Amino acid sequence: MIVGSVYGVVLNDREQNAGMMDAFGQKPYAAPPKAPVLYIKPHNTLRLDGAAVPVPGELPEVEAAATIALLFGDQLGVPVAAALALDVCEPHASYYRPAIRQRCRDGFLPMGSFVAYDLVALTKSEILTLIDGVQVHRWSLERLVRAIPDLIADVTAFMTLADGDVLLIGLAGDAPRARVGQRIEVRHAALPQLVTSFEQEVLA
Amino acid sequence: MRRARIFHQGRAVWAVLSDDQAELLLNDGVRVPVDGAQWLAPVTPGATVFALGLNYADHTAELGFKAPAEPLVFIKGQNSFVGHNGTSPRPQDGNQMHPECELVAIIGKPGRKISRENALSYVSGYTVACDYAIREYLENYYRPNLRVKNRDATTPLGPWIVDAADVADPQALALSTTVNGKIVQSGSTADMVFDIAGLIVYLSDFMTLKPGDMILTGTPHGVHFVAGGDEVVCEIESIGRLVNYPKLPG
Repeated sequence: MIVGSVYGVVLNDREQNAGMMDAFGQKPYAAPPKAPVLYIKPHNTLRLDGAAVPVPGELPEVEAAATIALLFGDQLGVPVAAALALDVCEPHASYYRPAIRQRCRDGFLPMGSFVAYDLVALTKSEILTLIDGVQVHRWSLERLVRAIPDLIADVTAFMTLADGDVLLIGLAGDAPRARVGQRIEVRHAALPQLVTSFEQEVLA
Repeated sequence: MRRARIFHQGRAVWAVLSDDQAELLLNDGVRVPVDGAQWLAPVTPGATVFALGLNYADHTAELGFKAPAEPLVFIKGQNSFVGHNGTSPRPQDGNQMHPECELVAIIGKPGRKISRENALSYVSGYTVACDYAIREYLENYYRPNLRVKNRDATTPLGPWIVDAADVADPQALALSTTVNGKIVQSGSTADMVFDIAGLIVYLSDFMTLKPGDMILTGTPHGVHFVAGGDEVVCEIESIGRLVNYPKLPG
């Protein structure tokens, strides 16, 4: 159960980082990232029940980045379950300041069911994203700059991943975008499918 | 009223501070002396804890930045908190670890798209934070990055939450940090770039604030690097005095 904090990591995609090598050397970054570049998805973003993602009217489209969520247990730093997740955000080009407004809107982290997993099986198959039934994106953990064991080691070098915490293992730099009215499916051979849809946000 | 979270006889409980501030009163009538109490950070599990960077003009200038056009917000993980009289690990190579005294506003009811005139009615109370940073670990990616601001037990909070009704004007409170008795930070919450009401308007514009959510509202100027074994005291007028001890490994 997610009783702790939900962490994610950006710039953990080899292909994305290869395209940013010039930018990494320039302002405002000045140097390539050393430690994993983490962010936090607060609990208002969680959607664990298959409910639709509310998209505010001012966002014509959002980034829908399919990834894998690891849930930690009582053995420090050891994930006990995995699920598919869709990390939704307002597209943003800069990684300089924390993207709170862009990443932390209500419902911007739908997740599938957590199940026991096998690391080899997770790595072997691709993560597929379908929009309205059409496959629009595929990527695999072979693209990760830090594979899962290295990522956990480098994060826990400076902070604890405790029981009830979640770690999203990375986002594809070429993740697709989606709009209100669309149905999204995320598939992986070793994990339960995640299905959600994007609806216009209606405020009470 | 002042409410604290303590560890007592095998469990975490909320308690009310007695008027003479000598005892903590539990729900079941038990009275725990303040001296020797095991203070926990008064944080509701699962709450979102926001923190602000560059929210005092004098501290912003000190760090060589211009005041940001929109609030510079980051979020804290639950690993980062530690209660009053606790220790905060200072890595051996963390020579640039500095305390940041901050007023914390606690949200008391759910809200979205909160108006400025109603904003402070969403605040149930206030507490004190010492939001340590370790500058050696700064990188220009989602800065201030988690390696600087989200290390285990490096965000002391407490000792207690003071009810909002007992704080006449949260934007006119003196705040200070002393290290081994020497003043290293001294300022007023009057000097925030974005005030508490403004921060509530900003955050609730794009997300729902929940009861228990907290906003650490930033720190005034004064960068002083701590050593292992120092006594660090962050104090805010009418709120409380939060004590912490940086500790080297071993």
